[in-house]
Amino acid sequence: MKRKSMLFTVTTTLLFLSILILIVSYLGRYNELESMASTSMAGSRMSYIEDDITGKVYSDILSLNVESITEEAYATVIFNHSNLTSDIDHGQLMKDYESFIEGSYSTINNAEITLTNFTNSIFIMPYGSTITVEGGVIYVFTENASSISEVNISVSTGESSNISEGRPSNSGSVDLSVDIDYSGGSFSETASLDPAAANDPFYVNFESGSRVEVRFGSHGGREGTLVLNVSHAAADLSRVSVGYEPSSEKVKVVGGNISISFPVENMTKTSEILISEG
Amino acid sequence: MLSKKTMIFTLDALLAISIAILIASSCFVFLSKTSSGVYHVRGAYLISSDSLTVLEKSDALKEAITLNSTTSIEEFIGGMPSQVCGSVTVYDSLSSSKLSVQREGCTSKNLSAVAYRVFVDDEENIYYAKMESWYR
Repeated sequence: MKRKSMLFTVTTTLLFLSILILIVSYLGRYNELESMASTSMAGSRMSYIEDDITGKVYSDILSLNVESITEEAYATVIFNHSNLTSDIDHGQLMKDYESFIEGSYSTINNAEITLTNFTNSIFIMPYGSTITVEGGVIYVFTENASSISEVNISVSTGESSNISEGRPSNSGSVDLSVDIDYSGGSFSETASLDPAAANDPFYVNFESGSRVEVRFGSHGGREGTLVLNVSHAAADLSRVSVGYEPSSEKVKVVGGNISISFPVENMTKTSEILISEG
Repeated sequence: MLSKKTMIFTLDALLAISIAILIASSCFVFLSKTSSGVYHVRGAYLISSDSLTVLEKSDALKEAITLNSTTSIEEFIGGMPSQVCGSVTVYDSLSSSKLSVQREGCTSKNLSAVAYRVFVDDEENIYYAKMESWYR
């Protein structure tokens, strides 16, 4: 009887202890999963914030859209720009956006966000081309000017009554074709130009005093610069295609850099703003 | 007068009951430390962020500001699963509220989560939308 009682007591105690151990281990596992869920949520938040800030910023503020990057006989980058007009200060718009993101937006998201090299310019890599939108002018400056093979440009404007037009003389081996559509007519010319020479522009002057001008060559001391200038008018650059010599590196279009930090979770991410990739 | 044997038996029973109560209480305390709150909040956050992404990419936020109308946002929120509640408020860059929408029939907020989305209108003005989601 005594032995039976003893056995019953021990069994019961072990049973209770097993339950206790099971619950303690369950709690430990639960805490571990909760911590993983919190970290995973912080990661999701970080990716979401990055996409939110950088997803459409260049097309929304600069109206600059990279249509495609193809790598065949040439590496060709095609972009367009809607509403090219001198009435907009694109540099200031980008600064305003940067201030908002680094200020109010960072605060409401309980994060520290920094945008660097965030300007009215985007970059085509690995060719070192910089596309800058400045009011009614778009500059495409290329460090390695000899890498440019051809440039095709299509512009449309609501202006009418072409009073004069012109094209540059052939001076080199970069093929340029320029189409300017305006109300009641069009201008379509080609030329082969030297990127190191100060070539004359393609241009159309309108009766209203407005002018659409495309220039390629040495400009402001920089060789291989393409300048698309619309003065006293609004125009859409429906297609700008820049063809480069093929490269072993992947062609991509990038903007500035973004750094997002969550002090509470001790997480930081710094990356280049990727606009498009070939 | 209780016999010695009865005394021991009583003490033994009391001890056993005490240990049982102690272990049961410990189990209860440990189990009460778990909660599904973090998963609820995570789910609600994903609903908020995904909803704002759709509203922005479909230009519904831009349209709401341009037309000063909440119709497209109301339609979107009304189309969410019936178990989900949500409210959307759009602010300008100075954090001044421009418009606000809450799903009909949703009042009390249990565990909710908030996401924000920045967008730029056709005049290049900066706005942001705040969406709060929770389960009924």
